[in-house]
Amino acid sequence: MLVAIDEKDPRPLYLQIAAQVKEQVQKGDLRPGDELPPVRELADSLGINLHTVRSAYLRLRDQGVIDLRLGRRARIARRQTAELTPSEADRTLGAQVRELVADAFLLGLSTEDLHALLDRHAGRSNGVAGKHESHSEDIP
Amino acid sequence: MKLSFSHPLWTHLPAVVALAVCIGMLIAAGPLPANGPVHFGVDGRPDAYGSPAGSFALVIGLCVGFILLSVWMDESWARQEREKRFNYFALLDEIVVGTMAGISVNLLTLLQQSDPVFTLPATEMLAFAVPAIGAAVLLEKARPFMPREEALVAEDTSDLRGQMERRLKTGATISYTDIQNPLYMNLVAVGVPAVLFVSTALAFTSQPLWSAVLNVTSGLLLASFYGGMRTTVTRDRITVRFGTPGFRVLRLAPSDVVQVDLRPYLPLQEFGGYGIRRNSRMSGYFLKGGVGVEIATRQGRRLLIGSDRPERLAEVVRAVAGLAATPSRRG
Repeated sequence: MLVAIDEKDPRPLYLQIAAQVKEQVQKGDLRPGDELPPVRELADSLGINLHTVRSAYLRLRDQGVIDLRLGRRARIARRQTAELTPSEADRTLGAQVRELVADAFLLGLSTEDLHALLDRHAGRSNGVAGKHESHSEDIP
Repeated sequence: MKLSFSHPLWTHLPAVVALAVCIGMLIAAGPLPANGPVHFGVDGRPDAYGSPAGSFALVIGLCVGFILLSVWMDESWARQEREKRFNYFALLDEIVVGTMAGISVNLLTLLQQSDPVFTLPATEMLAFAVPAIGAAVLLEKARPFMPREEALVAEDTSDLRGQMERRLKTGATISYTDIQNPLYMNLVAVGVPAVLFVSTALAFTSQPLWSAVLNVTSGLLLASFYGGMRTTVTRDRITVRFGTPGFRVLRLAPSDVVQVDLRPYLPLQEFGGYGIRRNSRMSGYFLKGGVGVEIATRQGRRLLIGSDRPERLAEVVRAVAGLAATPSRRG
């Protein structure tokens, strides 16, 4: 697992770590069942407080990305295949999408620009999602 | 899920046949006495009596367990093979089952004697072990070489190399962690300590204190290896740690690294085992066999680090050491 801390990134450190883990899961670099490094060792290697790493892991656990249980190593969770209803999707992602729309407006992006941006990233994600699924099938 | 074996199961047939013959002889001997000698002292005289049927069941259970262990060991060996080699460990189940079958058959004779004295039954042991080992040698020679495809396919690391270079250029703090934690480590670090702790607790009043202390200390030592091996690569150090406490067994500056290669290796054959090992050429750190990352340093040291994803680890080490990317190749 590769984690990088960028001082120029305005996001809090724990969000940077959580985002990178999710990105690696999406790309298939991290597969279901893969272990994450212990909190203390990751914090030590990045030169940050261990509570920052713990916060990142707790966020990933709450989002269902990792399994984190007392006395066990943190592992990438098996991917949920259940389809969300529109209301469940709104409840899960609505706040982030609203914030994204507001940020785009404040940056002066038009609706078309935002759509194009989303399409570009969604297209890339779909490409790797297929690759990811083939990985998941490999795991018994 | 369909199980596929690289080391055919029929290579264990001699041990299975030896055990089957032994069971057949026990059945043919007729009903066993309810009580008889089940353990013998150093002088060969019985020092414990009990149910002979229970003793035979224990021996048969141990033999079955040993055959299963042998299936697992031989399969592990075969999955690491890059070319067909004779595996001497493949004879282990025949040696053990042949020996135990010989002793069991001898015990049948002793049960019929009024004043039994145990001596090592060389004739019975050889009668079982020699044909079994002979057949096992022939089968081990005859078995086909069936390498696993995934062991020969390399992982594409161009994207990872790109990410590393971007992040190194921007001055970001990076940490790459590679974890090798095979299933058997859970058995060693959880199962064995659990057996030691429970047996110590159950026999606490009947065993000497030193024995209890030894058991608990061994259990704690084994339990500390829970978590396997972790290799961490940052800008300024490459570290290998073991177990939950994170015992650091290797620390290396990336600036000292002059060459990084992928290398197939056989832990038992080249290093005589797993863990932290040394042979005449290099030091090894691994919990599994397969393909590892061989690092050469300015000081002339050679290190072999085991990894489940060696191409990725090698590329990260090359990136922090400032070495050019190399097309990954296995085997």
